[in-house]
Amino acid sequence: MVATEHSFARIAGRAAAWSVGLSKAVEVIVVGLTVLLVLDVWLGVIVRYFIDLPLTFTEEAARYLMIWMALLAVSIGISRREHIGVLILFDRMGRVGRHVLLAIFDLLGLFLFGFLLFYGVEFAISGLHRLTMIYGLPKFLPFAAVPVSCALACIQLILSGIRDQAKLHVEAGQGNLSV
Amino acid sequence: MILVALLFFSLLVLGVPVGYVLGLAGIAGMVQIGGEQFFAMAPKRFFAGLDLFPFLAMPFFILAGEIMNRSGITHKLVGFADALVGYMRGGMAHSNMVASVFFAGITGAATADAAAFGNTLVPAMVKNGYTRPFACAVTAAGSIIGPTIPPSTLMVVYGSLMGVSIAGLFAAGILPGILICLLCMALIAGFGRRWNLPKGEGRPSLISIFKAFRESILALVMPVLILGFILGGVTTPTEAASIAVAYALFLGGVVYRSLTFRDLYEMLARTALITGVIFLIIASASILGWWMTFEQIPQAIAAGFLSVTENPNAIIGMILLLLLGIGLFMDINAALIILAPVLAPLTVTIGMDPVHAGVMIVLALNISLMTPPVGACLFVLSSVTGERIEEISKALWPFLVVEVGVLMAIAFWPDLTLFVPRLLGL
Repeated sequence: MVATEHSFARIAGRAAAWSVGLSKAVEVIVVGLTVLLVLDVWLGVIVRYFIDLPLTFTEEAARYLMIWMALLAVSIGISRREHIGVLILFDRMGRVGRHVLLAIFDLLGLFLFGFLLFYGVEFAISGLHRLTMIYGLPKFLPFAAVPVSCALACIQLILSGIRDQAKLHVEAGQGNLSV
Repeated sequence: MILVALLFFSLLVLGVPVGYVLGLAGIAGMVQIGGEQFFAMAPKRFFAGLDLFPFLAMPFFILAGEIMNRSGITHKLVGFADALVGYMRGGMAHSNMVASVFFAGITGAATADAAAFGNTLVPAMVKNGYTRPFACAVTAAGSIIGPTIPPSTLMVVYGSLMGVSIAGLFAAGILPGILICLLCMALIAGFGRRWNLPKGEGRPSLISIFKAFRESILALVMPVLILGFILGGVTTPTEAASIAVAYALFLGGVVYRSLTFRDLYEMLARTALITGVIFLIIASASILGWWMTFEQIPQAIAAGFLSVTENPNAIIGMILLLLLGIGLFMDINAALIILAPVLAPLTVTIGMDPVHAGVMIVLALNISLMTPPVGACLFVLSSVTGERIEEISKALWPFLVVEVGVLMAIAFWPDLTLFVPRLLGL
């Protein structure tokens, strides 16, 4: 029994560490994209109002940077369980009920992001032969935000799910379980 | 159609994150109308739902608010508000309201207001003899002025989604926000006499008012700059929002020297996270929205309303009831993204001005920020002050009645909302 608890604790700890590690790595990228986004829009303001330069890409780049930034951040939200839901039923559940609900949420999330990943790859590939309006880059670059972010979301859902479900077993073994 | 609706509401009640619910219901809708041939549409809509330039204003306003908040600007704004109205009976409650108006001009998010004032003003009010539930109630009531007075992230979302002028919405939000402040102050004045609320230290001299004004002037300039640029037609809301970020960075980094690189990193990460949470809902709603358009659901809902009555005022009343009711249980961003595409065509059918309808919808949802059981401002205040939500709610209801009264006035008297946009030629 103790050995089982120990192995569940180890699994929970490892999943949590991987989830945090991935989340931190994505966070660095997302912060970098946000900085680029801010600089890009400032550049747009400067060339529009102060210096007459033929830079027309800023608006297009800003939209695509924003989409990449926001969609990548979705996986950070999953890792920290920040996504908004109507939690009236959830809040009234005991600990076991909550873990069952969390498992259901994660499975549904996996289905959604898995679905979007599957069809999103095809969508991104379709962008290889289409060019963005102003900069003339393959639309694959912005479109790829969908499958990449969905893949990250799936990984985070799996890691967070394992982390939280394994934690339940450890808590149950320690007799802290409030049902 | 009924099966998709059943799935949608069941998942929502179960507590599944709204971003997932919208996407799953959209996929179920695709299955219902023909299956695999439509599946490729899902990632396209997921992407296209976000591919709008006006959305950029949202992360920028969130970032500017984060920076200003972290720069310690709250104390200066409260100081100025206190110099103006703090001498009255119930002075600190009045200051709280007036500071909310100032704060609204820099954040646009009610929870930021609730967190900032919950940490600073509520303890100070309790120390001065106010009860903690009352101090929390005043803060909650004032916090909804944040997303009513521009800049408002909710208005950016509404304007972007529905193709309504964001500048027009911003201009239209000014009077309702000030009206909420004035009526809540009248209510506080009434309580002041009845409950003998603490009085300030006497009327301040013009010199001390000027001194407080001078200390907060740099923060007070920001909303004037933002609104001046947008309403004057000089810049787009997105560009104005980026200027707000630059200005906030200048204040926090150069003038007040209160920002570190660590702070900046955390604020950028937080901005991205908040944007990600909201954008997942918008992107998934775009999948469901495609199916709803395919099935002509908004038209069917509009026809449903019109079959009950064709009286525009009665329909406005029904819309308000629906919004306030949904707001009791759902996050306001999610509610806005789901309901706006359904309700906006209905408001057009009954002849409402799009800006008027937008402000009415946004304000109705703002009010639900302070209604239990899921009012976000209540949660924030409860967590930062340690007061129970039930106690705050009991002290809050008179303010709630006043704010619903303002909502009614806005809904049924369009000139109140449209006066400023018309004045500015928007």
